[in-house]
Amino acid sequence: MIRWIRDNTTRVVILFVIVLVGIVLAFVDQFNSGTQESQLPSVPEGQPDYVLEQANFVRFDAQGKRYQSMTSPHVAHMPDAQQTTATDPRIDIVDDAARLWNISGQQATMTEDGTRITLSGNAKAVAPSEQWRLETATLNYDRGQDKIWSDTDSRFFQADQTMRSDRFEALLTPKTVTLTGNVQGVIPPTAHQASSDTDTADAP
Amino acid sequence: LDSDARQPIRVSAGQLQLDDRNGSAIYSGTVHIEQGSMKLDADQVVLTRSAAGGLSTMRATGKGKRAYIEQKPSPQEGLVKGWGDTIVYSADSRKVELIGHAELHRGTDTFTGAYVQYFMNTRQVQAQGAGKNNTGNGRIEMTISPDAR
Repeated sequence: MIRWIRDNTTRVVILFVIVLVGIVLAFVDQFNSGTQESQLPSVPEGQPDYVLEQANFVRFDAQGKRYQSMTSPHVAHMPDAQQTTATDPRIDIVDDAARLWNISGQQATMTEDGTRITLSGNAKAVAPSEQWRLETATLNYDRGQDKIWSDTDSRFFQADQTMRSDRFEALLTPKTVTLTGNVQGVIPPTAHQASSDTDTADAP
Repeated sequence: LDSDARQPIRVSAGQLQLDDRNGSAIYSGTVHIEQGSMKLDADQVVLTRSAAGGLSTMRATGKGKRAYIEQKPSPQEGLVKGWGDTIVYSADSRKVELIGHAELHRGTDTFTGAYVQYFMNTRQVQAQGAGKNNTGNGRIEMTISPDAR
């Protein structure tokens, strides 16, 4: 056996090298397939990585308190822009004083955690507890600043009062609403004032 | 006109701030308000509404120049004009208070003093000289013109 190996040294060495190369290749192949499996298919530029139809989701803060919910027929997450877009979103916001605010529009673009939202197209904000409603072209919400605002022509409705202005801002806590720029509006008389009969002096 | 109170209030201003805690609306920046024949011009107007939602009071103040109000008592009468550092209009009593450098022109009659009060319904005028903390020299001046007849 030893004499055979000594006589066929070249063949043994070649055999040994082939086996060694085989092992190395097998090892490399496994390593490659392993990494390929862990890599998600890359998303083409500007394409969503996931889309939700008829979406309805709720966000909770660290204490488990519900602070925002949204329904939308079409939600898409854009990984490269790190944004989420939603069509016809209806968004409810609960402020620190547990008051409810609703914002909506034709299109929404928001950060992934929903703390910053821009609504465009027939955007509305409603404050049920204060009985006011705002209609504008573009509306913004920022949870950190606790603020809803618009820099486009705004129409503000409260009870029977109608106002328009160039810009609008509502601080959620403490609640203040500010309309700025060319403010114009009408406050109708109440039913009592409208029907009060005091025109003795008006008679010719 | 007495029908003024039944007219809508039209407002224009540079800014409006609503404070829902006390139901007030603060208009500022060249504020102009009209209700029927009544017109009010000031730098700031705080408008408060009654529980029913209608106008309760308007408190107008001027910065640098006095606030101004005018109203036509009836189709036959001329404009009544009033100026004051502060003007307070109370909707229910239709009372106008001119406070600080107050001046009221009613037809050919003129009233000046620290405080002048005018009732739109009865056309009555009451004037006061300087009180403890009012501005003014403590004098009331009135010029009552005899009837033209």
